[in-house]
Amino acid sequence: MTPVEAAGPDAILKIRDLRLHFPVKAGLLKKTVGYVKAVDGISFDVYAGETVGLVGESGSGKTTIGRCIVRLYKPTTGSMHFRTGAGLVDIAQLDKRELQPIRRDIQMLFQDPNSSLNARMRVGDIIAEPLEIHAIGTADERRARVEDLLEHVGLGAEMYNRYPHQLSGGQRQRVGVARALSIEPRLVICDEPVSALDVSVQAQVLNLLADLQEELGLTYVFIAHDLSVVEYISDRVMVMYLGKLMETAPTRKIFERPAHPYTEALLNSIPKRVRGGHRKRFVLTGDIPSPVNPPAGCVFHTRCQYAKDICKTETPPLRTLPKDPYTSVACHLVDELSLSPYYTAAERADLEPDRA
Amino acid sequence: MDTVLEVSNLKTYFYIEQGVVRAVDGVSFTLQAGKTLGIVGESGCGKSVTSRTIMRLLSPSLARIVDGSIKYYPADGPPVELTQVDPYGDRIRDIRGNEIAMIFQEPMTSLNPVYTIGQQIMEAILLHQDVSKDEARARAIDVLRLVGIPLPEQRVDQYPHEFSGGMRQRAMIAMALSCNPRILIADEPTTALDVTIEAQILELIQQIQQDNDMALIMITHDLNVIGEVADHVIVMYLGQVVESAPVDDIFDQPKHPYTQGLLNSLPMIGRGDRLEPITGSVPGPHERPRGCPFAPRCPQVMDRCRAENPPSFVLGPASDVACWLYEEAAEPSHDSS
Ligand SMILES: Nc1ncnc2c1ncn2[C@@H]1O[C@H](COP(=O)(O)OP(=O)(O)OP(=O)(O)O)[C@@H](O)[C@H]1O
Ligand SMILES: Nc1ncnc2c1ncn2[C@@H]1O[C@H](COP(=O)(O)OP(=O)(O)OP(=O)(O)O)[C@@H](O)[C@H]1O
Ligand code: SF4
Ligand SMILES: [Mg+2]
Ligand SMILES: [Mg+2]
Repeated sequence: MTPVEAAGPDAILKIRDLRLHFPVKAGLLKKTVGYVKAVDGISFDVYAGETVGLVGESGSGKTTIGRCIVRLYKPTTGSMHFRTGAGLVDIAQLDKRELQPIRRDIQMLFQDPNSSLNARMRVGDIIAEPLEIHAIGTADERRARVEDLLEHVGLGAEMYNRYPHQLSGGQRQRVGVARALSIEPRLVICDEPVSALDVSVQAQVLNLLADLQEELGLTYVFIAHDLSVVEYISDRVMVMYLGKLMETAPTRKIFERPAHPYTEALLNSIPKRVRGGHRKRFVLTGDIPSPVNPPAGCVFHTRCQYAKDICKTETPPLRTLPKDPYTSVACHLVDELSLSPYYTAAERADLEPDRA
Repeated sequence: MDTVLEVSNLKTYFYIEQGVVRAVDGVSFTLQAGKTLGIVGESGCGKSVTSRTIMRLLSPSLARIVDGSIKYYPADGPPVELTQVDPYGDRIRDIRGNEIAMIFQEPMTSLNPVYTIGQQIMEAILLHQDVSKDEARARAIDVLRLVGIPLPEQRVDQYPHEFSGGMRQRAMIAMALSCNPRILIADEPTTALDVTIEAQILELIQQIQQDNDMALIMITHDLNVIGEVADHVIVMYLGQVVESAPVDDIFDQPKHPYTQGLLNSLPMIGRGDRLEPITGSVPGPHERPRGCPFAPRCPQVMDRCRAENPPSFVLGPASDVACWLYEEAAEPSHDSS
């Protein structure tokens, strides 16, 4: 594992061996009978100004990581060093009071624009609330700031007095964006921010997030299950499976030269058009195993078509590839496998001409 | 090619307190045996109401078929006009679940939590086929195996909550397929599922389609799924079909400004260009604009569009578009009803 110091100088977040195990309780006395290993030993860096996409099957632990970073959860073990004016601070174990100044810098944007906004509050007050919590500005300054934010996210100041139910889904998600940005965070955890939206509105919100990032120098951790959305918005992608990282690599590399069998399976599961007929799908069999009793060895071995004996007993560590320092992979067979990309060369040539 | 279903100018309206909801407002298509029709459009455009109207699942006290026809062509015997059958009568019960089956958007709302998966599949079989209970149970186990449920002999006696989301969806498919339907209507069969499970389900549906020469209506808001499975596509907007064309034409040379806008809004892997979203959002059911339903969001809108709703112009043997931009280019219509 990379020591904290070895990471690049501009990493604003360095996560090492993060674990969050939820107790499973049973019986009258609510005895702990096991643990859901939602996040099970994860290490990665986030660099200033980048968007890192976090993908993986339902239940793989994406939201849990996000909630650890914003400290809605306290990790079971591990460190999360966040860069502040005073250098790197491990925010994993800070208490409520110590966290207060850091909460301003890290915000979370939630999936469901309907349930994440307080229905009884006016839009303007929803956006102003974080400013009030952090006692920023006078009432007049706050109002001016909210009006400015409303303009910024394309809603217009006249929306100030509306209630959430008077807005469309896309408008509600814009309110969520304005609220998350009101206190000028540096890092925003976006948890499926466009999943509930229609494609035309989804595209509007994606462009808005990209524009705000450029303008304000934001850093995003972008959680999504839709890989084409992740491909569009992310500079780097991290692929999770059952609480562990399987692969991290620059976005193009992931799609053109996947290095982990699970990444290959994900890519080849994405529906895609092949001109003049149907393609034979590559299908991953079975369901994702339970995170209470994850398989021994490589957690993916029960569904991996390449698995060998070693995969069933030894857990492959996440290793940086010697020939490619930007790619890390957790697979015993990384050197011997040659995996299929999203598009084969022939498919690309066939589709490319009319991408004018 | 055998036509199995022909829908023309179908209109289904809801009459509710706040007024009339023109949920389906002029839908036409033809479905052929062994082929897949894709129905695509944003939330609320009338995809599910179209399929529920075909299945006659909507209560007449709530929704009224105000115009149009749905002709079903059985394997033998004369065509059946589904708009005219009694929605609670024997004829539709013979057809529904037997000759035309449906997979619903949310498996949990259509599986009954108090019966085992096996009981629910057996019920469908016993309703339509003259077999004994033992034979029905054997058939239920067979279809569960067919859809890839492991240990079907044991799983058949489990309840829906004991299945994962993907397994429930497969159980729904098992139920829909238990009587070898000639037409399968799949309403967002994979929307709530992970891509790996989605791929399993789509593979399964297409496998069965090929084996049985089954006609498939695939309803989804996901253009990537449409691109992968459909032969022919209809694009819906506010209850109307705005464009109807073979799948490659929809993607390579979309005609309607809405279809073009949808494609420009869609992140496509490897493309990289900035998305160009359609401005605004779909109006609510009671804010239906005058004239062309897409006029308020259309980048090419003309005065006429705001006044008159364009008819469907015929651009080729299997291509229609409802947009004034194509009036000049149009051929005389397929039929002049
Ligand atoms: N508060 C909790 N208590 C107990 N278990 C939990 C809790 N939150 C999540 N889990 C479990 O932890 C695992 C990871 O959940 P998480 O929500 O992080 O997954 P996810 O990758 O975000 O999935 P999805 O794509 O469905 O949102 C799952 O098995 C989930 O059931
Ligand atoms: N029972 C009902 N009463 C009144 N209006 C209804 C009813 N059911 C549907 N509608 C309305 O009919 C229109 C079409 O709904 P429908 O469910 O067919 O949309 P859809 O295209 O399937 O959308 P989605 O992609 O969200 O599933 C919507 O405006 C909807 O609000
Ligand atoms: S370690 Fe083995 S089981 Fe895991 S992905 Fe690699 S080959 Fe497959
Ligand atoms: Mg989640
Ligand atoms: Mg629907």
